[in-house]
Amino acid sequence: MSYKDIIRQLRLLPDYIRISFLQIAENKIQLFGAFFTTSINLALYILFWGVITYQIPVLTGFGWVTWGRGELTFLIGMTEVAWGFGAFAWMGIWQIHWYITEIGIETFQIRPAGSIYQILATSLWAGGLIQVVVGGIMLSYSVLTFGLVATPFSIILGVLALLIGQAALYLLWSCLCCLAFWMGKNEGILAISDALEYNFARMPIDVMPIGVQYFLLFVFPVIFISTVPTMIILNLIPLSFTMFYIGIASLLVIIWLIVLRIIWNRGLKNYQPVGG
Amino acid sequence: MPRNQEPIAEIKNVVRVYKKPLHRPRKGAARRFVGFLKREKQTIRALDDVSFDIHSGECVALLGPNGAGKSTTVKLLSGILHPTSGQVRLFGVDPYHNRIACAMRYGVVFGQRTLLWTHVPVLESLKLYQKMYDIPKPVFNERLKEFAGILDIEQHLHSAPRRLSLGERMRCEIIAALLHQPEVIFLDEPTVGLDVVAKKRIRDFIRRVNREENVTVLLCSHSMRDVEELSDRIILISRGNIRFDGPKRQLKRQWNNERKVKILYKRATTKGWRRQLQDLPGVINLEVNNGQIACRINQAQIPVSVLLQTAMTLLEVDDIEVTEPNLEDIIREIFGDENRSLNQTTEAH
Repeated sequence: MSYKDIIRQLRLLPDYIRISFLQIAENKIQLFGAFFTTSINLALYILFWGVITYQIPVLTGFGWVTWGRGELTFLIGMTEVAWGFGAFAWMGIWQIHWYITEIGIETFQIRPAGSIYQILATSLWAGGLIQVVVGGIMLSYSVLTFGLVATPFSIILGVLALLIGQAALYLLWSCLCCLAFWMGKNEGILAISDALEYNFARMPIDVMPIGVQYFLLFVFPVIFISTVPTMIILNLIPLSFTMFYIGIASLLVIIWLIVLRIIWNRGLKNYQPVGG
Repeated sequence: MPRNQEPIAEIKNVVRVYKKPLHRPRKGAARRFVGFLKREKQTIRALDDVSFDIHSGECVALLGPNGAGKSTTVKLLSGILHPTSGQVRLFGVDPYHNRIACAMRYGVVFGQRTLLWTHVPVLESLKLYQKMYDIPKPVFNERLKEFAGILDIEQHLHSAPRRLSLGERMRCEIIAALLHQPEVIFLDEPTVGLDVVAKKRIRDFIRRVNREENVTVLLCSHSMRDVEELSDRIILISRGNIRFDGPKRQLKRQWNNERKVKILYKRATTKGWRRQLQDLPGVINLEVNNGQIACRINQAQIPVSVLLQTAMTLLEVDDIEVTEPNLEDIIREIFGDENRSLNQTTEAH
């Protein structure tokens, strides 16, 4: 793919986003459903951490971070923002195996753009942004109520860490979903991803044993989704450590991009069209 | 047909193999368990040493029964699939390894798949394609207006495809495949499931772009009417092999020994007339119904005049009708023969 092709594809992004909004405008009931489930999820989440912090007022990390009620409330908001943005931008990866095994990738392959890019862009789900808004409200509430300090620079770094971290995590899942070229439908892999995100992404990871932390940092980098951005925005870790995290996430993005390209190209040679 | 120039699409000794899991019933729990762990696979040669080329401006029909390898051929030419062996060239390059560059220059319509966003107005999908294919805005507006007018879908451009009928959606799909002025279009069952009016409209449109814009067309269709009206050249493909490749008239000539004969008679003058007619060499499939005989004959074995003379000696003939087979009859005959021989082979085994 040439440089010109990449630029042309990036220029298409606003149109894909516009189509995504038009789609939810066409299916308003689905939008209300998303709002309802987001609210219920958030209420359960708040209840969970409410119970924890009632028992233990401060969670002490294995490192230097301690998590009080304010930080945990911020983490709740950050998790909502991260999941909402993930649902908006990365919804397509959960459909890769479905396209490969049931629908067919032909309609993407005949267009002059990268197929995975098209799958992701076609599946952009603007409904996920509702969760981002709800999470944003939660973040503002935690800052205003608990007197947390976040500087514009730390917010920029935190958002950067969130975007790069999500890319690292979801590119890994994309690679696993592409195994459908050989394995057929593999919903089991997606179930693992859900379990990991639900059980670890919404926890202050640094209260875990160091081995688990490394696992969640280098193997399944869910730590980057909400914990790292929270720590960066609230200045809970030094700048050098922030840069270290962003560097690792960027490295993971590059590695998984290369692996994804290799798997996709090999898979295509193995591809058997759906319906002849 | 401009045969002196380089072909626009070229397939040379192409083999494409698929592996299909076999679901063979097994007796006994142990065997079933082994079968579950290690599933047998059947190798299918979807294309087996296929070679042909297509020149600029041609309209070629690729015909064959289900599973013959037509769609595989289209997918190889459009760079979706990679051949197991052999060479595929489109615009002089390998379309699989130059997919994006080739996709800018071809258009594809899959009758069974949609290129449009189902839930948003058709125009929104087309606007995205305008940017994707780098179509200058004035050209886009002009072509869209022209095509929408010819295909009579101006009023549907603001509706979502899911709210359109199949025929309306199909016309929108064809516009989506042609807006970027492709040099080649691959049409895989473009009229499947459409009514006669919609089919005709689409056929007329394809013929127009083929003749006026010199767009090369590769058409896969089960509709013989599409083939009769659109294509100059026919490639017959069956079980991965090319059975015929040549002009439509040559196919008709080559398989044109057959005639359909209808004889209306008042009464029989000789006993056992039916047996006598049936036993004539070259008489195929003789049927008698309410004073009417319908049969097919092979002219190479029995001239029509001989059949008629014989019939007149046996019957009091009222009227006679002799017709040449149309393309559909010929194709049915070719592939019917093949299925018959396949069945015989299977029975022998």
